[in-house]
Amino acid sequence: MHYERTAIDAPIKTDDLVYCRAAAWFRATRGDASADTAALTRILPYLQVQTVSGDETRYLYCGTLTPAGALYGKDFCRTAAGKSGIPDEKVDRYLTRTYFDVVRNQRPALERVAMPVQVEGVPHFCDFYRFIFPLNLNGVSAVAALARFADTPTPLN
Amino acid sequence: MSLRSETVDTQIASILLDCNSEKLQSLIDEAGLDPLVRAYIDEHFGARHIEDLNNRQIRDVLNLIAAFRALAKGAAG
Repeated sequence: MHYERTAIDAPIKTDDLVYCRAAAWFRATRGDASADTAALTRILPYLQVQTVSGDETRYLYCGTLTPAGALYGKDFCRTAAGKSGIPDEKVDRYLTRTYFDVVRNQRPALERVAMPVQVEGVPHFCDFYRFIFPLNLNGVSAVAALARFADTPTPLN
Repeated sequence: MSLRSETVDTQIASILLDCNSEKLQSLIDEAGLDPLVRAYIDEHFGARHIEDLNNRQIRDVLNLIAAFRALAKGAAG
């Protein structure tokens, strides 16, 4: 299986309204979840929020309008809090690596990821952009990831 | 059941719900989870206020708060 991750160093120009809102919220608040909570609440359905502690990450919030929501459904999102990640553990480990850098450096990251993701035993090819930024939740270190599909996921078999 | 006892039951139910809502909101505020809970109840239950939730939905919100508290404790330890 082929996994590909490309870090994007330069700011991107985009007309994606959700990305623009997330980037604007982070610029204004530096990731303080107690600041401009109305704007944060509006973008949360598109975000996956995970706490980062030691070498582990745990879901705190999984919006229904995320790739995880699209692949695994609303019930997965509703019960995500406390889970270690998505059911495809190999993909999860690969995706969460960036979170540690984001928390350590307290700097956002932008990347494009292309990989097959297992959904109930069926691999789906997924290609998406991710904007990952640090989030401070009442003193707890977390990351928020906004992922947007570049193409609709397609089952590989 | 008489009209009078129905009225009393409704009043008691309302008082209990108000107390629980206040307690729940104070737990949410204490954890700093207000935006997350607002987004959560809107996404999953189509509700704007915690007063609009039924018992099962309140349990889901409490699970979210409990998960956060456990994670916060782990992060601090």
